[in-house]
Amino acid sequence: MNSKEIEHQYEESLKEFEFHPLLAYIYGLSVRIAPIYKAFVNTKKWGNIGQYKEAQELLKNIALDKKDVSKKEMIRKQEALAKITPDTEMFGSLLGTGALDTCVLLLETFDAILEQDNETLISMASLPFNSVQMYIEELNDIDPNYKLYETFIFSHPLMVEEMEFQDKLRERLIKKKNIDEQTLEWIEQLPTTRLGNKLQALEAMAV
Amino acid sequence: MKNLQKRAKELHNLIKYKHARDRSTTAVLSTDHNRSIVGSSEMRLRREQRQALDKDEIEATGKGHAEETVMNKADEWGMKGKEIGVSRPVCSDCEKLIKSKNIETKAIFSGKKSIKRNKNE
Repeated sequence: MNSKEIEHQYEESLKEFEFHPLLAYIYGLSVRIAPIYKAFVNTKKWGNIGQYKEAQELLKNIALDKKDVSKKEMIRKQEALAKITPDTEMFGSLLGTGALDTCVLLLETFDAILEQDNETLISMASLPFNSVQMYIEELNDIDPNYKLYETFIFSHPLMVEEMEFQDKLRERLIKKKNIDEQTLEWIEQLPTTRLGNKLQALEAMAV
Repeated sequence: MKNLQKRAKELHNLIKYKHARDRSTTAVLSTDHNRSIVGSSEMRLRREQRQALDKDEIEATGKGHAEETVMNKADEWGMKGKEIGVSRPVCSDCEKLIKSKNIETKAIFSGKKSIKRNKNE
């Protein structure tokens, strides 16, 4: 399978999900990749980890179907998050792209919730693969013209970890109708990405 | 002959996520070697953009504004830039660079210095 087919497969598998478990899945992705944003803020001294966490917390509450979450609050948190989302003209490194993607995951999710756009929610499954793919390309100096490109990228330990993480999430959430605190606690215990440290190291090497 | 302004926007709009599109730029530079150089304000083009490159389009990688990336690559590869298309308004620094190299463009100039240019980059 090529990268497009693999990503499609991950997105397709989310079509069977109920709404709240799907949001819990995206919350899980967000928790997993959050260290990239943290590494970015610590390195670039730009952004706001507290506000990022508030946006994550909001998604968690929506996944739990808490009734006190208003549309107004969602828009307010989304606007606050937009302000702390890096622009690649300002931060064009891979760390910048990684941090952008961590924010894009939440921004697109809030848009999709407000617009009841299930397709966009499902498409979030392939977003975390982007930064991993770019990092592997950069580190190994390969591009898609390389004959074994697809095999190389998708057998790389970092990409395998990403896929295994999503497999684990899907297995736990796919049969669920509703989400409880216990499930979210389980999600929060899962390993987070190692990419934040790696991108930070790459950034330090470039200086 | 390609409409480079249209092509830059076309490639840019392939970026899957709206909020990522809103925070990046894509540039296409035609050259005297019958090939165009495509670059982004990100280090690399996103996969969905790369897959859509024509045979006469080459990806430029590297840091900086998309316009700088493609013009720098042209220099590095010994090509002369002819015309540039850019997916969002060009800042005054990039405008100066484009004009200093006598490169044609139908892109919009913002007339402002980019507030998005990071001193650390």
